[in-house]
Amino acid sequence: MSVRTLPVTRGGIGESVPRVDAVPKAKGTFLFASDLWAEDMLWGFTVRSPHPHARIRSIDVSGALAHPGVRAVLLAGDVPGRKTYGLEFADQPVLAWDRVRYAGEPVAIGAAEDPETARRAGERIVVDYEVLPAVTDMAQALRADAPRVHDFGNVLRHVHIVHGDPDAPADVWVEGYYETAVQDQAPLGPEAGLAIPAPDGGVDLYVATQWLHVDRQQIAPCLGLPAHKVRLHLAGVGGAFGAREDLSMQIHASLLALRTGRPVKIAYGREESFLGHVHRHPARIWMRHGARRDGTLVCVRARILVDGGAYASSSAAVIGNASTFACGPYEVPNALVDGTAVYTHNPPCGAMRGFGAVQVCFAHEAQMDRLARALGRDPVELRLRNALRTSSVLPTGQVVRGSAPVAAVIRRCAALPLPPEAPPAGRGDPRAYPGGCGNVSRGERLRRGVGFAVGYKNIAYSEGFDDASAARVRLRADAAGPIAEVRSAAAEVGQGIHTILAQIARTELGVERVAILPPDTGVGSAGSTSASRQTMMSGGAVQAACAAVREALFARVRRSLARPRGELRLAGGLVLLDGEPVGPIAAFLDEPVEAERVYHHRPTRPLDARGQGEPHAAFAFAAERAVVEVDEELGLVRVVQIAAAQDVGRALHPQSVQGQIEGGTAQGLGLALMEELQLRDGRIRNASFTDYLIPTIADMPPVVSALVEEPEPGAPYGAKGVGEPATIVATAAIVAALRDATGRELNRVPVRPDDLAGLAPPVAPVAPPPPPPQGSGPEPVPWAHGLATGQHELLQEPAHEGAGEDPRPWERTRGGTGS
Amino acid sequence: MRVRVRVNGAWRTAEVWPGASLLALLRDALGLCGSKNACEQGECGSCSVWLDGELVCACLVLAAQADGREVRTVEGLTTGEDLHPVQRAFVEAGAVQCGFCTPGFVVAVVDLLSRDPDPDEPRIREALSGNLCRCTGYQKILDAVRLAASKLGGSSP
Amino acid sequence: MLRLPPFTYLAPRTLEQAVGQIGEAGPEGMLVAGGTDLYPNMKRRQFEPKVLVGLRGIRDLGRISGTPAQGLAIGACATLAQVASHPAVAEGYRALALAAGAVSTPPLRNMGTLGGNLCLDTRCNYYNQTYHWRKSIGFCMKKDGDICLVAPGSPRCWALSSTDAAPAAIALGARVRLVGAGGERVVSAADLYRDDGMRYLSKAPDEILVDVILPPADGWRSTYWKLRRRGSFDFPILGVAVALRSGPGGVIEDARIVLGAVASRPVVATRAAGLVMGQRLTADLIGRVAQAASEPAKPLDNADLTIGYRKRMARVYVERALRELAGLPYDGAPGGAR
Repeated sequence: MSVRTLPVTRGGIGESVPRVDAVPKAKGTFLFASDLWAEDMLWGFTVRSPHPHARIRSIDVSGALAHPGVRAVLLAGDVPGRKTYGLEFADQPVLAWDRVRYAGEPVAIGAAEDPETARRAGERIVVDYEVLPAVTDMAQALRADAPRVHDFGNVLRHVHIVHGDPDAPADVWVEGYYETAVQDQAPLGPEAGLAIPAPDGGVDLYVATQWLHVDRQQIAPCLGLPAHKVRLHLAGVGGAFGAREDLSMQIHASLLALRTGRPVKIAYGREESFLGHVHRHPARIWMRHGARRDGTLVCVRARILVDGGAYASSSAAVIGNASTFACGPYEVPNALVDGTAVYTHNPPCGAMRGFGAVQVCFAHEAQMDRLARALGRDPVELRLRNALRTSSVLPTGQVVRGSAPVAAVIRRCAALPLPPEAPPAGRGDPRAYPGGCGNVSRGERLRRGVGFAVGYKNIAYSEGFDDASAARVRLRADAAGPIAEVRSAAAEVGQGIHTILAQIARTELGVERVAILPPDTGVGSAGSTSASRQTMMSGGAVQAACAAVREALFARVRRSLARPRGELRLAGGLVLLDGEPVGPIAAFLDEPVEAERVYHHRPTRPLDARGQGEPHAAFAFAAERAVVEVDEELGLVRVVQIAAAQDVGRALHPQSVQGQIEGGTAQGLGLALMEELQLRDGRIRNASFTDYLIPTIADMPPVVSALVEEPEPGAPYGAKGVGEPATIVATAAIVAALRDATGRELNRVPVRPDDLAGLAPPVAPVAPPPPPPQGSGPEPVPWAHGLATGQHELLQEPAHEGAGEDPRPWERTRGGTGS
Repeated sequence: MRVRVRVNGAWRTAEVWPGASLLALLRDALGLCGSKNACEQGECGSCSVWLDGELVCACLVLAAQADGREVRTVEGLTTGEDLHPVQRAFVEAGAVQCGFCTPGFVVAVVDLLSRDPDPDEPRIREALSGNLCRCTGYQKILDAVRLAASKLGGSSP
Repeated sequence: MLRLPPFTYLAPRTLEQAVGQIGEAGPEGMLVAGGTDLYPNMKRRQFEPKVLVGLRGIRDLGRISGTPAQGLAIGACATLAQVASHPAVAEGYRALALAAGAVSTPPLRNMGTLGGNLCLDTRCNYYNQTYHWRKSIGFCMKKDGDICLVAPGSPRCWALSSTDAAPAAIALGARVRLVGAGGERVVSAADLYRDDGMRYLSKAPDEILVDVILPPADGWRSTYWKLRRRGSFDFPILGVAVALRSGPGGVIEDARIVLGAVASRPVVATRAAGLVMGQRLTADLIGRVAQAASEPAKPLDNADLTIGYRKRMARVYVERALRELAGLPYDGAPGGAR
């Protein structure tokens, strides 16, 4: 007698299935935004300011317009709608009209028949500038006599958090000052898109972005068009890491397409890419930690200053994050945190993987090591003693409700095997010594060091933002059987969300064929591919939509059954009643079943004047241990191994989770050792891959990772976002290891060979920490000046999606679904 | 100017302007977009192709220089739905994320394995040190190379 | 988007044709071999030639002939990859094999040539920028402007020699054959360079570097050490080439020490080399030689990392290179555990 095996659905959650887009990407047939082409297409170009601060006296476009093949040149006056845009606050001109506020700011745009003509036309536009004094130092921006970047001043947001008694006495105090440099996301795919004018007077924009709907929210008012006439379609995205949260060429290409009546493509080159997207905020951080003799943390005082550059971008949220995560993943009963984001005439800073948590992690982990030294305690033990857990109270007063396996993450990381000792000098492969593949070292003066870091950050949007994601799922059958079609606007930027959504549909609907339809604005907003949120948010929406489809299908099934009672289930392409097949799913799909659902995460609350509230929805934690070898004479480094343990809730695709940890670690290694966008007088000095150094395969160590799976209550399958934690801790862990190897202070990243060779002293603050600015509350300053827009409006303004579609699909289901 | 290049086995003719690179010829004139344009100055490897059997960056070869010569691109590795064993290994090992660097890496790995069917890790790292990836941290790319090498069993791909 | 300026590309098949074409093009013409340095520079408008004479189609220029015993002739268009992996180069002229193998990346070594690397344009972080960037700060004298932005009072340009091959070639006593309309001449590799960031070659613009002639390698040992931050791609922060010929009992009979990337030309450390003549290499002597060798290195603030660092590393690297050739044990804690 044969044993009956339960039908299973292959390719569901938990399996490392091949990515849905891996084959075309490996074959080179996958089309990225920069590969797009349309019949009769024009090439757009952008003329940018060479000055960090100047008044525009005049712009002469006659030379460009007279050039054969030039079809349009547009200035600020040609913008038919709102003249400014912005992700959170509309403080950034579509094209500068009276003033430029950073070197690289767009001043004019145009379109021509071919790229060469476009280049020449750009050179024929003559802008007469009156150069004005610029403020390019974040501390000086706070001085009363500093040039004002905006009329309302240079304070962008100040966050003040008071928790317990910040004057509480402690047995031991340690104090430090830390700096982090400007890092760039440097996605391999440059900014690009193709705008095609539509017969209805609107525009179809094919673009590489992280959030189609928030792009539209900013584009449409500037074009003077209703939202439904601006249709965005996701083009292939060559990496993002935050660089595509803000607009780059979107409005420009749309304006040119509408003006010329022809498709317009804008594709940035590498230098323009560095000028055309925001960067990671540079930070200056003062910290003081007090503890009892037994290692228990008593108090943390932190002063954080970040340079937001010329326009707000997401600086308000970044300083919110930096301030709320300043104390690290530890129980801190008393705290005083003051975080300020300022405007300067530097290029704008905004989102980058880790979003404010990277900078403070570098500081708080250095402080924990200092404290361990001062107390004579083991640094790992010290972290364990103070580790956050579920029910801990954060400095904002927020109680950690979800999973918080900090101790488990620390223990798992510390237990990962160490790499073997280095071979004696002169015996190893020269390629394995610091400096890599050249003949640069034979292992002389090698010092090995080990460092440890723990960090955390929020998943999804915070501070009261009603974060939501919509998805539509349609189950139908064709000759080959049942197929689930998933329609979501979630941007696949390389992280693998489309594969995750397909896995969820398989698990929920018991079918193996899933089609992920191209993301566009024809479906409700999925929110941003940011904040490690898509697995939870769009995963939750697809799970909920599948559940609705399933229930509708079950109703059909029950109608056809003689005995409709019992538990129905879908698996392996079959409908099961109490575990017994009642027929193939396809048999019940004469008509397709379709449902759309919106997922919301647990509501959050903004911070009050004392920084108290419930700002974050959920947290993800990570720990990394770095083993490094330093040639102490040359100051060159080889990172030997990274051991990583990450709190992932539940790994829906273990291979992709590891991929996020490994890739996130590489970017953290970059900030630790080499990545710095060098600014001098507001100008970027290294806008190329020759001079902006990103790690090569010769620089990356093996990453050994352990996944800590403690499900997050309320999140789909208990899964947490996994994209950011490794980036947050890698920098701190590597620098801790460098300190261990060299005994040097190393309080600025990236650490340079000069620092490691003892040729440069630690950085010292040029001035004492600036006092908190007067008169600003917890709300971002541009908010008070009526500039709030973009994502704030997204969920408040009714969206018209066209005939037959629910105008407010996100209203249909609220409160999420749980698992 | 008119150039004639044998691309993936077939002679192709195109009219290009004198400053056009081989990369522009492939992408804009011949519609072969598998070779990517991430830096246009030889600093990323995304446009790796073979010119007369040598691995080169197409952004630094003039279209004019390629006149009369043999060019092989990522599109020439397979026909139709087939995957080259190296492409298959990239898919299986999880070496593809955003995918922008992937065609260049695939070409560089095929080149490596054709010269050294069983490379050790330092050799792999050295051979791929001209290709930048911003997503993967390279670990799964190394896995893919080892997987491809084992599948190819030392036979030249 | 980086785009090349328009130009006419000529592809001569013989050296004579090439000499004629570059002569005819006059100041508007430039020579190109691998193009890995010239084309990025042209895309940034450091050069805007109207005529390019491509040398890769000249078959004889790619040839490597001879033996270490007799001496070697390497055609200027031999690729860096060929030079790095050629058995005769590795056997007799190791410094050159190491230097060629340390340039940039594998695909660029397949494209770039030995002659091209020897003629590599000098570099400066005020100069290796796009046209728009240079315009935004006011151009420098090396292109489009009339002052030096590194040393504003200076009458000369301080761009850095950044070739890996040149220090090695000089240390090995190489000579280069130059062919022009007026005939051919052979000069020592050291004399190919001038101490001027703008006119950094003594070669006339219409002269073609045809081949690199290496003397017999008997008794010589050599090495090249390159300092850079990443495991690939980067131009040298510092390059040190050392060649030694020892006689019976390990007495040094001849020595050459050459530093790259510390000035506008490769710096030959003659006095330092003199210190080892007739001596046996000891740790103490090496220390003194390294100190002497680093003295002529006077880096300016126009490249990656600080001046102090780059100056200090010159001493460290000369010391390490000499220790390697002396067969002395490596300094420092084996395995490095601490």
